[in-house]
Amino acid sequence: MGGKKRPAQPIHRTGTKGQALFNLATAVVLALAATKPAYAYLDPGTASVILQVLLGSVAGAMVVGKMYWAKFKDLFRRRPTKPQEIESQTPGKG
Amino acid sequence: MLPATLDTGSFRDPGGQVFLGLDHVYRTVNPPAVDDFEFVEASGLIESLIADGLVLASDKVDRSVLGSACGDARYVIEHPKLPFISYPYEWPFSALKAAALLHLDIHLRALECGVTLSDASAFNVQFDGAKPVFIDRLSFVKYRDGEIWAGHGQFCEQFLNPLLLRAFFGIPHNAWYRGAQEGIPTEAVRALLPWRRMLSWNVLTQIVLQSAIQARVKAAGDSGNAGSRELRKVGLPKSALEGMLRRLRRWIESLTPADKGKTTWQDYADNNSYTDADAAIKRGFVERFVAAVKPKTVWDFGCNTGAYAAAALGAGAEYAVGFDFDQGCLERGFHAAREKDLPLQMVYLDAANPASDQGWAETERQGLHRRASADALLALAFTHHLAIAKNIPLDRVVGWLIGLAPTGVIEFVPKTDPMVQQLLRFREDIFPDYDEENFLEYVGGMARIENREHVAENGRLLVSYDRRG
Repeated sequence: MGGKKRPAQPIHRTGTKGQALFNLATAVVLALAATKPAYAYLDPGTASVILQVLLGSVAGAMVVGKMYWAKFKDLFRRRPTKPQEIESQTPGKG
Repeated sequence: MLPATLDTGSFRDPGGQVFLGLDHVYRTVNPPAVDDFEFVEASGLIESLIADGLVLASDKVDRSVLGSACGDARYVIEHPKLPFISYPYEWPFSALKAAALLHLDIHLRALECGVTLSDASAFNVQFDGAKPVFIDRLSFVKYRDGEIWAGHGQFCEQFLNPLLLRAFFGIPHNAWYRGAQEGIPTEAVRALLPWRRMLSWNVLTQIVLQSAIQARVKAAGDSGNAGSRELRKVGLPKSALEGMLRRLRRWIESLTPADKGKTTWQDYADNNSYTDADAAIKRGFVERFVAAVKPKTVWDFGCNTGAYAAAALGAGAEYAVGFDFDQGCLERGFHAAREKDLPLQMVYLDAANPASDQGWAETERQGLHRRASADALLALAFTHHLAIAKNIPLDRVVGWLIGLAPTGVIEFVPKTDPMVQQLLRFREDIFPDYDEENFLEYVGGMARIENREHVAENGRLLVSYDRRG
């Protein structure tokens, strides 16, 4: 709620668009299927597992989105321009 | 005879059990938990959390301290005994909120050290005064990259949802939580939500989406074991887990009770049927009693915002528990204790229906009588709420109170008092034995009356008793 988004952290295992989409699709498919919960000391609850994977995938997708957005912006930046202009076009935060 | 006895609430975790000694609590570390225990110990996390007061102090001690009860435990750790164990259904809103924030803070600190929490039971948090402290050393386990948060569902049910009940609907969590020890189900909160509440991302994901998935899973039946395993492999990146914990933290931090109006009793200390001079007499009586009896722990029944419990602490008592059923009073008392760093714990109690033995085999959670006892009690302007408002015979009220502590101060408020008049205003007076003479006879029948003093012109009477030797 509210707070600014933190800079993207490129350390995800889900660090590709394809992977993120796959995760999301898997989660949605599995949300519709039944799952039997765990054998650990605490059963995390199937709904909780699915929700976390979904939210994690959304976060992953946002990271990927940011990456592509940065690349997209780079397309324009990489054109031969004076160094001062590059400076002035760069947003304050990454 | 064993030096310590098994805590009857300690059986869910195969990794260890809790034993209660005289001055200490012991926790065994059994073979299933040894690897995690050693990993967490080597990380240095626990030391730093203890140093910052977030986790209860612990020391490894010789296993022989438990004698044969030690079983196949590989380690035994020793904790100091907290003065009063309380349960989430006895906490005021702000205490539950403080416990929830503590849980999230600890989890975030743990992840920095490659450690995670294996569950999110609110019963793993206890209070030292108004300060929450995490007590379960064995909840700390090694974090495996990408693993999901096992305690997420439990966190929602035991912390988030009970807080939302009060923050969204003005419903205190205590009665519902007491009847549902796993906590408040997400589907129940979802069923109560009006549309406008669903416009927030937090509500949409944590409540609406989670319960929608739950409903679909239930409807689909039991056919997707392989799918569940597959899903776990997908996992949750660490940064996403940390993001979720931080987001929950910000959300919970922002929650306040929806019922902001004044409760019946929260201004009672400023607005009542006795004068400042009477209050000073009461205070002096309590202080002299505490100075003479020197109790370590004092329980204050009908404590209001805890002013007389604080007076008892000022006079030398080491720890006080203030019981009241008024949510506004509990909140004020909790915040005052927090600001002044008083060893005063505020606890929700409907004295006509005190916390009882409950949970598995009726021994998992303990009722008030069996859980602890106080060295002294205060029951000021309290007995008429049971004797008149709840029709509990005066001799039983007196007997119940004196049974809780060997010494104490009880105030008798006569029928002529305006507060009692209010209680009798719309009902027949069916309390012929409710008078000072009978009150003194009942107290005298169970204990020695040490001192007595009339507080107000209208006849309020303070009595201190001692039933020892």
